[in-house]
Amino acid sequence: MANCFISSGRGHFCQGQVGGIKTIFLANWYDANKITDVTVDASTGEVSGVTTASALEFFQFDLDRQTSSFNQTITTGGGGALNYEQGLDVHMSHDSEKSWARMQNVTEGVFQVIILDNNGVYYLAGVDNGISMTGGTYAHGGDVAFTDYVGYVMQLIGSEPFPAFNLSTTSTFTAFSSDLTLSSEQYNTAQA
Amino acid sequence: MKIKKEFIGHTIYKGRVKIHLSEVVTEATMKRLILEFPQFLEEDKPKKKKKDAALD
Repeated sequence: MANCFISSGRGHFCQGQVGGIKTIFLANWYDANKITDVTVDASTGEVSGVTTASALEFFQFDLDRQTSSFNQTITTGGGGALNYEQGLDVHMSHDSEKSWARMQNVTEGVFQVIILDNNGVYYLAGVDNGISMTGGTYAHGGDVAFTDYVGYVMQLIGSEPFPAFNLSTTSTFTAFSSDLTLSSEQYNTAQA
Repeated sequence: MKIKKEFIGHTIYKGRVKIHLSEVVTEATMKRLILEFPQFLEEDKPKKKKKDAALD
């Protein structure tokens, strides 16, 4: 048999985890600027190393609380095919002139993505094929009343041969500081 | 060549390929590691020969 046998069962877990994601980190995805392969410790399941074409810079996007999600959909084919669709539904409130300029690049680009969930776990998605925008609303999405939501609601999707890699709860930019860096470039001002 | 001790038990994921680094790998896997992932390998150290008592 091929190398796909199970070697452990799974017990009942105590309560304690929560849902949702709070931050995503995007890195521009192209041949000279991406993670090319990932090494995982088979006993812990955590990423133990990444290889990059050159030091890879990620940009941080803070998300609205309890509105954004990360979804992985498994698809198998009768002929032995397997695919993990990695989907992000992200909400970033407020519009501004800077957002107008910069969020277009998010709409147009392809990315490798690190996701921080509300349990403090970092995941790495879009390693092989990248993740890109498939839809959403740009700043205004049918808001009418004063209390309606104004901001960016975006869906990003990628298709990968493996599920998003578990980078553990240690900050990725500390654990893999020689390969992955976090840009200090971030704006947080609303319309002037 | 052999796999560095610290990587034994780890798995490399690249594209659709998954290579498990165990102490013993097939010849084909070793060839691939040499070509694509030399950073996980090191030279085999030559084994020390036992001194022949008769020569002492």
